[in-house]
Amino acid sequence: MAHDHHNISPCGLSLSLTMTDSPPAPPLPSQNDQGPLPPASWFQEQFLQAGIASALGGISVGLYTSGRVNLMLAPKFHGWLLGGAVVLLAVAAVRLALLIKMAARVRASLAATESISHVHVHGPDCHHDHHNEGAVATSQHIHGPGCGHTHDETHVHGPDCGHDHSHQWLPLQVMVLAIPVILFGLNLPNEAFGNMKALDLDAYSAQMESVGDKGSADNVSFLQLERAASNPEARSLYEGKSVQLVGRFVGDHDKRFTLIRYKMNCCAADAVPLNAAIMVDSESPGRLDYRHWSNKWVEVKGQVRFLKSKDGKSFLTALILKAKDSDDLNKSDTWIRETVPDSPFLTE
Amino acid sequence: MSDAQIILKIKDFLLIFTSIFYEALPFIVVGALIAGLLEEFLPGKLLTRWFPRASLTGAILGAGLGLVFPMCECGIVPIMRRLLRKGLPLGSCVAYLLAGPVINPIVLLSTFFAFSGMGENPGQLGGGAMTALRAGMAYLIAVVTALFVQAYASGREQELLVPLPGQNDDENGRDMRLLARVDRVTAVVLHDFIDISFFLILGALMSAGVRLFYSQDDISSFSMAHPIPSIFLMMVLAYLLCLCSEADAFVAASFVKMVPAAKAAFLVFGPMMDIKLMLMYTRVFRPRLIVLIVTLVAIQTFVLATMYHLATVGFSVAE
Repeated sequence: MAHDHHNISPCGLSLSLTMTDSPPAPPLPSQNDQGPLPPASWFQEQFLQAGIASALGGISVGLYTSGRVNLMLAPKFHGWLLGGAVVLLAVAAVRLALLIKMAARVRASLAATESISHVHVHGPDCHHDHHNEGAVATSQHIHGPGCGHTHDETHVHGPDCGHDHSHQWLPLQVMVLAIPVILFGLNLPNEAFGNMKALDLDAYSAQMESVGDKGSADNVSFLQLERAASNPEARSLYEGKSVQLVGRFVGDHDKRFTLIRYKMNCCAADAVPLNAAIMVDSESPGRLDYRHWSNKWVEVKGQVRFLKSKDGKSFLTALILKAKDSDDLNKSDTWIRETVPDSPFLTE
Repeated sequence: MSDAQIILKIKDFLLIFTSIFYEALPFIVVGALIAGLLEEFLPGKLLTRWFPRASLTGAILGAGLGLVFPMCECGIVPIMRRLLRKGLPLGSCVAYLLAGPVINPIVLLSTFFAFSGMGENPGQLGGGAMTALRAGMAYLIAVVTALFVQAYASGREQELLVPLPGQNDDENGRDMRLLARVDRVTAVVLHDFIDISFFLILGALMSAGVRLFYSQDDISSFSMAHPIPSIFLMMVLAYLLCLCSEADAFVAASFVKMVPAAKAAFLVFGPMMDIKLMLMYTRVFRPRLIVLIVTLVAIQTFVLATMYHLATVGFSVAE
C-alpha cells in the first residue's frame, strides 16, 4: 500500500453508520474467501491507547491521593498532575465508550448480513475494483497484506501500509509506556535521594569550637542559613544562635558529619543539595555513634557558625554541638534525634 | 561500589525518571488536548490566510508567540505539529518551538527570581540581567534558526516533515455532528498523547541514566578553572538533564561560582534541545532537519555565550 492518507481512524464514517438514522444496515458479509476475519488491529490499537491513557491517568491520581507525589514533584505541580490526570481519564473514558459502541455496531452489522459482499475483508489476492459497489464499500473494510488497490482516505491500515502510522510501534510503545505503571505497582520510587556524598570537612576541623552564645532563634530554615553563608550581614545576624535543622545524616566520622537536605523547585530532577557541617565542639569529649545515625533523618540542635574556606573567600554553614559526653550527644535527644520530615524536600 | 550503594543509585535513578515523567505528563495532556481541538476546529485556511508568509516577519512573530501562548517545551511539541499540518509556515513554527519555552512570562519570572540577589557576588549577574541575557539570546537564536530552516526547507516541506495522521480538512467530506467531532478530537488527543509520551519516557530514562555518572561538584570544579570549555560543558549538561524550563534557572543559579556565560548557555540551550525533546522532535521533523536545527542552535548558543564572556570578562580564568 503506497498510498498517502492521514486519517487517524475510521470513526467518523463508522459513527455515521451507528448513530444516525442512516439507511438500513448495509449488506455485510463477514468473510472473504480466505476464511474468518483477521484480528481487527485498528480496534486493538485504539483500545490499547485508551487503556494506557486510563492507566497513566489512574496512577497519577493514585500518586496524588497517596501523597507519593511529594517524593517527585513540588507542591505547585501537584494540582497540575491531578488536573492532567482527570482530563486524561475523561478523554479516555469518552473514547472507550465510543469505541465500544462502534465495535458493537460493526460486529452486529457483520453478523446481521452474510449474503452481500461489498463490505468485506481484503486478502492477499484481493485485486478487484469495488469502490463503486455501495455507499459503505470504500470506507469500511480491513486491508490485508497484499491489498494493492487505491483506497479512499478512511480505512483501517494493514500491516504493510507503506506510509507513516504509529501503530507499527505498538508493541514497543506498550512496553515503554508500561514502565511507569509497573513502577507504581511495585511502589517505586519510595524514598528521596539515598546516594548522598558527605562534604570533606577535614579542612574545617580547626574551627570546631563554639562562638559566643546569642540565644536561640526559632523557625530558621535550612535555606535561610545556606543563603546566609554568602551574605556578611546575615552571617553576623545568625552566628552564635542556637537553631534546629532537619536533614539526612551523612558521614562516618565520630566528631563531625554532613547534614543534607535537598531543595526542589519543580521536581526531584532539579533538586539541589543543601549542606550543613555538623561538628562536635572541640572541647567536648562526646563522640558520635555515626553507625547508628548514618543515613537517617535527624533533627540537629546546635549553635550556628560559618566556617571559612581555605582561600577565605567563601563560608560554609555549620552547627556546633556542645554535648557533655557521648551519651548526652547520642542518647539524650538534646542534640540529635531521629525524626520524620513533613516532606523529604524543601521547597520555596 | 557496595551492593547497598548500587541499590541506592538505582532508587535515585527511578526517582529522577519518574519525577521528569510526572512533571511533564500534565503538560503533554494539555498539549495533546489543544492539538486535538486545533485539528478538529481550526480551519486549515485560516492560518495560511492570516499568518505572515514572509520568512523574517513570520520568524519574528513566531519567536514572540510564547508571550501570548505560554507553553512548556514538552507541551509545545504536539501543538506545533498540528499547527504545521494546518499550514503555519515552518519557519514560524520552528521559531515558536525554540523560543516559546524561554520567552514566556512564567519562565522569565522564574529566571528573575532564581538569580535575584546573585548580582551582589563579584562577576555574577542578578535576576534582571540574567533574564535579559537569556531572553535575548533565545530570541536571536530562534529567529536566525527559523530563517535558515525556512530557506533550507522551502518547497520541500513534505520531505522534511513527518506525515501526521489527521482528518480531511475539507468540511464537506466530514461528519460534522457533535458526537462525531468529539470522537475525532478524543482520537487525536489519545494518539498524540501516546505518541509523545513514548518518547518522553525514553528521554527521561536516558536523562536519569546519565546522572549516575557525574556529580555537580565535578562540574563546578571544572567550570571554575576552564570558563570557555565550561560553556560547552553546560550545554552538554542541559542536553542530558532534561530539565523543565521553569526550573532550570534554579539549578543554574546553584552553580554559584560559575561564569554567567556558561549559565546562560545552559539556560538557552536546554529548553531548545535535550534528550527527550530530541526524541519528541522525531515525531515532527525528519532526522536531517533535526540535525540542521541542533547544529544551528548549538553553534549559535556557544558563539553568543563565548562572545558575551569575552566581552564582559575577557580571557582571564575565573577565580
